[in-house]
Amino acid sequence: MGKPLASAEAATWLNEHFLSSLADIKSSVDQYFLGGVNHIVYHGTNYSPPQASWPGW
Amino acid sequence: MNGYLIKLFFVFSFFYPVQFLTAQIEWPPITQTSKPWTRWWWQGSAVDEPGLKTTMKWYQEAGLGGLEIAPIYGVQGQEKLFINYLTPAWMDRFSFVLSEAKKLNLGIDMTTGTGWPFGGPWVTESDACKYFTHKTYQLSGGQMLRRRAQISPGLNLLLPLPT
Repeated sequence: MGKPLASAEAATWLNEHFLSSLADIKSSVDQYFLGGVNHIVYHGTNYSPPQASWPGW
Repeated sequence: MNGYLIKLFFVFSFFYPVQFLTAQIEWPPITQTSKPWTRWWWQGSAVDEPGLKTTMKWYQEAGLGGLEIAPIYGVQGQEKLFINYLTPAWMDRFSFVLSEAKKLNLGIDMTTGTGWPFGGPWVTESDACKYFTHKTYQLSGGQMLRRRAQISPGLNLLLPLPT
């Protein structure tokens, strides 16, 4: 609390889409925190129109 | 007496760890910046108000604290919906996002351009990204390459023609 924010793009995967699990994110984010990052910015959430069929855009 | 001591021992051994655990799980208040944010890719900036309203609510309910807008190339077949970056129509959608974000207590950030790497026409050739590449041509002895080396269609190398 009250500390300056150190943000980092996080949970960026180089493997094929939809293969990474929440457990992968947990272990990755733990390492960001250990490295001093205190503001997680996920690499991405793609805007997808709600009416687009699965898996969306 | 022995029974009393044993009881006392059990009482302490039972409560002490509980108090210890309580101290461990006192989290500081969860704020907008302590939540994870996400880079929010806008493909072709083909966003509309109903879609923005619905998805922003989903993100907020999922526990995200903020969104960093990153416009990028669009989805094939959806070209009619593309909105050019920073045009009045684009600014309208952006203003809508800011007002929705205020209601949902979401932070909004932007990348410093479009695409990846971020950029735009204001990045001159001297500042632009560069990379080295090569292509092998088979020439006979004494033969000269008479045209510019072409790596891929539309990408001509800025090499002087052989003289």
